[in-house]
Amino acid sequence: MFGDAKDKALKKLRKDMRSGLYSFLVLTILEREGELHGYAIRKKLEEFSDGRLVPSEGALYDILKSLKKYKLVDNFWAEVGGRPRKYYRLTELGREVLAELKGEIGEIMLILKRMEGLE
Amino acid sequence: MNRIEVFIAVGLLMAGLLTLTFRNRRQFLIGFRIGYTYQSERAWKKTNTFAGVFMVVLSLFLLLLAFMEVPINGFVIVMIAGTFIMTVAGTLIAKRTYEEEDISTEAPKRPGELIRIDIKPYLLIQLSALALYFILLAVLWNRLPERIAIHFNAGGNPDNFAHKSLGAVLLPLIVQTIPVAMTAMLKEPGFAPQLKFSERGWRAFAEFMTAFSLLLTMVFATTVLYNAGFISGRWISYFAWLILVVTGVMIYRLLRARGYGS
Repeated sequence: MFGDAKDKALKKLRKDMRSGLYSFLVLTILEREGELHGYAIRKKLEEFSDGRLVPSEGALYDILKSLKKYKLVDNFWAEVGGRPRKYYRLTELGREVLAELKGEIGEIMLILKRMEGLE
Repeated sequence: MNRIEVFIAVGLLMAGLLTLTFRNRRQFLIGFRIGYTYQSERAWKKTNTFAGVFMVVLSLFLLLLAFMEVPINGFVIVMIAGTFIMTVAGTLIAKRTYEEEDISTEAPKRPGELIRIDIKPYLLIQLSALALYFILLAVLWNRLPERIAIHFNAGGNPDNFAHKSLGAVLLPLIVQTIPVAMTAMLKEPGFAPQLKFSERGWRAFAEFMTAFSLLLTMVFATTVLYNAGFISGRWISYFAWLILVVTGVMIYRLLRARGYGS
């Protein structure tokens, strides 16, 4: 019974925590790598997190769609083997927003370290 | 009970059942067939399952309306709204499924041949022509009778009538949605893979839709002028012939642009 409640709470909090984190990581990867296909973005996330932070295809689709809606990334199509494939790149606004977010992430890490020290 | 309404509902039910029957087998005759479903097995299955179930439910609802002897206008509105919802939702499901599958399939690190499509000028022409039509309609509105002619026989004589708000406002808006939406969808290359993503291909399609839209606008404008008493019905017949000829030429150009007939 309590196991269920713990799993539920963990699932909810993980989802909340990861949704923002994924957006930040996707922006960071695009800043480092330049133009990338969705598949490559997913692979990079897998690589950097040792397979621990890999969004599902549907989740990544939603993240990229949301980042595009806020004009943080831009997409373009290229033909590969007779099929249109979608590539993404960071916009100027995306670069500016990412710079701000990096500062905030730095602060969060500092706070977490301080809190660890208090334990 | 109106037999035509029952016939339509049963026809839709058959279409829905056929769509469900072929939902697991991609082919070119039966089903929700757009670029995304042509190119992806996953998009085909998901979209056709949705479309099949939707058509069955809609047809049963239409059958119920037919048995309840709901007036034909209500029946037609439910039918058009249902078809519209199914088309839009089906396209969105197909697009999402195609793009999710795209994410799951390995792609070259660097993009190869870029697909560049610019539909803005074509949309601008189509929407400007529609705006001009509505300006003409506003100017002549008070000269139009309450019931206007909306359809003409080959001799240019009217054979179908409707209230002016329906025939001169709603009908042009609904009909013009088709070329405008088809042009707008071109910006997603997955929508029309048959055009081979070539500039020649998408331009031929955009020009086709623009010519079609302009001719439709001219037909609606001519109908307004006829109903306001400025011109004879023969002009409508001339435009109908012109639409047929231009459509034939445009389809030929499109086929050539796809690589056929050259």
